[in-house]
Amino acid sequence: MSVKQEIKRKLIQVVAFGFSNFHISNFAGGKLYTGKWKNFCNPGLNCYSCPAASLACPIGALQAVTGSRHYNFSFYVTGLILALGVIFGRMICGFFCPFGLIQELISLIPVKKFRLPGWMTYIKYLILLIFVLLIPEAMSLLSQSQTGIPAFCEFICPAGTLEGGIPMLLTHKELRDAIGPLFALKALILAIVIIGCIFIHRFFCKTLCPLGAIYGLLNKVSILKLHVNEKSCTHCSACSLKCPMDVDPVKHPDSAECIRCLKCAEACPTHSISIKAMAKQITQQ
Amino acid sequence: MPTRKQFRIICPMNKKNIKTYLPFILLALSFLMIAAGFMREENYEVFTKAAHICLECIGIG
Repeated sequence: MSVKQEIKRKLIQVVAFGFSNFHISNFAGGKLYTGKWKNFCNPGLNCYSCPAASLACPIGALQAVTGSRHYNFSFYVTGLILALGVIFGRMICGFFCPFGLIQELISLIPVKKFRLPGWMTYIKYLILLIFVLLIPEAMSLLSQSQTGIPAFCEFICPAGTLEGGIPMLLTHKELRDAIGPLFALKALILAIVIIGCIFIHRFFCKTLCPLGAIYGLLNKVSILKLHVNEKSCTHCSACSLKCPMDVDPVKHPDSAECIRCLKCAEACPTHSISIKAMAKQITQQ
Repeated sequence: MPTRKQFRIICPMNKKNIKTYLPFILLALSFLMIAAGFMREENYEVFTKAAHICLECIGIG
């Protein structure tokens, strides 16, 4: 994979970002798109309260349906996330996620980058279990109104603060009058994520993203997979040094942390790394 | 009626085959789940949430 392939990936990311946030003109009036496309979920993380958002957020939708009084489990959203994960695995994070693109743009700030301690990558699984699954379900079963709260969206999600909160607060005085400690908490988390992204590649993806956690678990069974040609690989470790997710593609090609951005393939001097759909090779070596 | 050995030749369920077929089984399951979700009209719940300002998402609560 050459530098041109990285430019192609960036172009795909920009197109995906544009498709996810198509209604730019809504920023001026602080309106939301309310058309039929909001029945469908975005493959990546993108707040549906962003004025420009054209699709629903999959994590927000999952919490909304799980926490509603009519349903305890969402077949639709779970099935959609499962389908996307089984086909692409975490390639969605590497190519289609709008918030992933935002993090990569922040990472372009030229400062020294650091590696994250390995244990911090497990935090996102706890967030998925507690904030996305357990709290909305528990609240809908225990509360008198039988409705749960979207705990991840309410207490953590920096995409919601950046894409939805800030634009809406800038255009709606009545919302500005209502902000309190919760917004302060979310703004703090957003600041930590932005600072984290400056010094650590894809900080949010590594530590906090519950959608990445789900797709990562499906990396091992996905149809599109990273393939390493054992015969041509010289074990020079150029791929693992280049990897923004701190993965060794030769030892762990199906790692749950791999976002399949193919920077390892670009760095490989013998072109031993490629994407394969089952047995068939997709990318050029 | 095929014997056990003959059945294993006709339908070999070893680790390699399970690994090969598992993505397609999961994909079929996911399509069934999506269809079930649409039949239960869960997409309306998604639309209702997505088409209104989510006060929790923007930090109001």
